[in-house]
Amino acid sequence: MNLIILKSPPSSDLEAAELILACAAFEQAPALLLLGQGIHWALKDAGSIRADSKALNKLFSALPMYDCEQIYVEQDSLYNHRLNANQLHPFCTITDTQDIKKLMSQAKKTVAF
Amino acid sequence: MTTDSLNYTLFIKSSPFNDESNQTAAAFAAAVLNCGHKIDRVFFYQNSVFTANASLTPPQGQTPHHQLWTELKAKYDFPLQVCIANALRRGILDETEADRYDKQATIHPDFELCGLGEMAEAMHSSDRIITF
Repeated sequence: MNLIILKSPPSSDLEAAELILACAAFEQAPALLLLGQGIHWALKDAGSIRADSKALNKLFSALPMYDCEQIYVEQDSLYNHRLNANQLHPFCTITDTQDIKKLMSQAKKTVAF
Repeated sequence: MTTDSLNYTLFIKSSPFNDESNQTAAAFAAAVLNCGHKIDRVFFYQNSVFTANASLTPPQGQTPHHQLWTELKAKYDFPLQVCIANALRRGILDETEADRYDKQATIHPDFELCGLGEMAEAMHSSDRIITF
């Protein structure tokens, strides 16, 4: 299992998401771990960063269709940003530090944004 | 290459103008190669694609950012791959894309524009992915 960690908030061109989708297109759908400001990727109401760019919530909600079904959001990051699970896409799994350690140790390759 | 040697892919994201990631990555690549390992490829993504700009003209006494890589490539011959979508957004074009968009090519000839499929392939085939 490959792991992509999103620590940075979404950028206007969603370039991190492009790598996720490319891996999925080559039948290597990675697990995703959202930490820190990266949790903003998973917000249900996340719109476009720029007026002429793609809507983030539409792109993110399509990930399960590309077999990206392991999407984890760090519990502490949610708390620190005053967000809750109801604000996230329903297919996200809230996870704690212990489970994150396991996830990272199980990953064959990791790329972080 | 020894029997214990590993294939490394270096995945570089940071702009060469922002921090030392570019130099650190090149130093890491040199160390890896000196230890008998192999660089499968270096993949430039996001703002790191500026490294491939052939027109970089640093002040006297400084070397252009791409020179670190072209010297290593000349010695060890590994691909310097630049994400095509990220590059075009930032004005880094090869001859083909320059013709397509009626602009001038800006990429250094030792670098090549590639699709993200190359990075997906590296995620599968390389022993190690190191992100800078």
